[in-house]
Amino acid sequence: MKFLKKIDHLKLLQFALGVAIFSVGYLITMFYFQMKDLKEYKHKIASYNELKLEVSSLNFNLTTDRYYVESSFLNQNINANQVKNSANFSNSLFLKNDSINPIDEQTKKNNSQINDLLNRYQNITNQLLKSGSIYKVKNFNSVVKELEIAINSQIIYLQKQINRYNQNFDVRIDNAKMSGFLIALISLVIFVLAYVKMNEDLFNLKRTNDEIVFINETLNNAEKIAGFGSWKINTVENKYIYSDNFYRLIGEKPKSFKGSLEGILEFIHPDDREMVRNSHIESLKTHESTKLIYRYLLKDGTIKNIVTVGKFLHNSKGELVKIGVNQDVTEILRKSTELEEKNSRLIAINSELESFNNIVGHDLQEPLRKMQMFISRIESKEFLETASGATVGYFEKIKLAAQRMSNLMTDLVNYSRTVKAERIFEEVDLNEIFVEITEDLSLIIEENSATVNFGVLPIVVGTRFQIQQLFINLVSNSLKYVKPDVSPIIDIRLENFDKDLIEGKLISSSNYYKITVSDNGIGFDQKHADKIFMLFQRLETDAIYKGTGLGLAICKKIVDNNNGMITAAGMPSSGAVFTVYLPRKSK
Amino acid sequence: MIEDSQSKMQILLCDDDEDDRMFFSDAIIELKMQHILTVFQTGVELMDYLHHPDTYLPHILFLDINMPCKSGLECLQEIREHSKFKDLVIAIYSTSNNAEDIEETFANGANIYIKKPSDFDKLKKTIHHILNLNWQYHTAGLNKETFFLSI
Repeated sequence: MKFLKKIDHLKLLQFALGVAIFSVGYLITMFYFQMKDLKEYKHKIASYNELKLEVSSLNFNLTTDRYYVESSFLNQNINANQVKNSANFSNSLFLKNDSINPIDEQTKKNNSQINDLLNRYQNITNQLLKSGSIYKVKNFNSVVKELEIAINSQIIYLQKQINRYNQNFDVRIDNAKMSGFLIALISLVIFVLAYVKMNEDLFNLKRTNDEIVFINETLNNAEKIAGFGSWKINTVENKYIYSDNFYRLIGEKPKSFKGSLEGILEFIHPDDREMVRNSHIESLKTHESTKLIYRYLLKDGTIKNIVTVGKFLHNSKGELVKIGVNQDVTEILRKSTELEEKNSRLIAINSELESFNNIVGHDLQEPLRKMQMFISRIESKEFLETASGATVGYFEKIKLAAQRMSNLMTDLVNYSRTVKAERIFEEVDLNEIFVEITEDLSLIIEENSATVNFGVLPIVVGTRFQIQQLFINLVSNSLKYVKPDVSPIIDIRLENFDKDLIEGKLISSSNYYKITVSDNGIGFDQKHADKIFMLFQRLETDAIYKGTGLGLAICKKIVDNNNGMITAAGMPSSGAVFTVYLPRKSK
Repeated sequence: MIEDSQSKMQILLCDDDEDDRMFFSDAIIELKMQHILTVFQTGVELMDYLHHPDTYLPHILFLDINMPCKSGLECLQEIREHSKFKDLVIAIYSTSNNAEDIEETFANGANIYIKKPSDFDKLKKTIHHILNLNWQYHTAGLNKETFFLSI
């Protein structure tokens, strides 16, 4: 079986079946002709047999005739009556001989010879009856002898023919037996082949059946879990068939009632009932697919939102069938409504935040700017020269507070801008960025007599103004937290690395550049390294450091926005290193 | 007077904020330059003045954006519609440094954008810089970067 399977068993079976059927056909034809021959031989043998019997009886009669005549003449006492009897008998013989049916040329020839002799015999008999002499008896005897010889040769010939046909008959019977055996054998082969094929088909059918049972079971479970129910309507027989979960969806036990349109409409919310009915009836006319959204009102008062899709198909009998699936979307609908509400609330909050940003960015800065303007006016009006030391001190404090407030508001605006910024990624050359940054910060750099060194920097992928803001903030941070009486030195470098693990994420040099910003400032305790990037978290409370608690938070936000990473490493009073990982252009 | 207005530089300022108008004119006075400053409180007043047949074409206009009734942007658009004002230098003078305002005024044909400083000395420096700018040169090389003035 396995071997057969290997060589395309189906084709092989078909081929073998063909050959077998052909052979059987051939053998049946042969058998038919052999049987026909047999019949003929049988007939011929019977004919020859009959002929032989007749000729034998003729011979016998002749013999008795001869002996009778001989003895009569020897006794010189011929009884006329007896001879007459004999003549009559010969006549009947002659007549009988007429009836001999010639079968072949040889028999015909022999028969005509016998006929001649019989004629002569007749004549001699007649003469014998008339005259009655020894000579004539002698003649008569010689004729009878010739007749006997002819009859004997005919008998021998017939015997030969019978033997020959008998032999043929035997051979044919053997052939017929063989053909019959072969027919039986090949029929058996056909039967076996057919059995194998049927068996295999049956096996396949069984397997397919098993699979269908399995799929059905799976589908039943799937329907249960996914809240689906399926249905089938035979439009010809007007039969409604529901799946088990269809019944569960309407709060009934599976197969608890027979399906019908009216039956199912009862479960549909009264407000939707007409719509569903019309749509269904309409679809039965047009045979177009349907999609409906409606509600179920179950017997226990539960309302369910249902989506149903229907479609027309023809089954194997060619009948039009409408099949469909119902889904319980109550939960989905509830969640999406909830989500929509939350979304619109978020949008409202966002727009509020936006206007808040505008207030901070413009409306609050406006009066502050004026206060600062007036402060600078007072300073230039030589008012301070006449004022007392305390007043000058207070005035200085007012000025610092105003400056701080201004910084804070600028940072806040920057932060909120970073949060809602559109993410347009482009290639950003950090070398260009640092040239611009050192120009922008040149005043502070000079004031602090700081040194900013940067080596050859890479081209990263990000939002340009944000990347710029990121490094402005980092450099400003380093310029802000400097040690008194130490000239700040800030180094920006591209670092070599292979793979770094940052916050549980493996950063590989094939996707990222690692850039460090290090300074020789006041540094920080490493245990605060996480706090440093949090909003409004300031590590330094000393009034001389004018931080807002926003600068590094903005950095963190920007790095997040640009799919990068940032870490900080610090040593109290010996400086800090900020490490930024920014994505490189994908190859 | 007529001679004055022809020989001296004619400067216009349109700003709804009284304090800012005061700072501005104080700065002009302290700069001790030969200028004639005309000040307007609203865009409507400014446009009425510009359209008046007796008005001599000014050299430079400092224009605030956020003003009630008629905003600076509307004035800018109206002025740039008239070919007779094509040589008028328009400097936007605003508290806002938001990108949209800068973008929009640039697109509508303003020559320079000044963010109102929070220091009087800085204001004086800015005005001095603007009044001594070679406008032909500046306008020829005008782009988004040179448009926003940073002193």
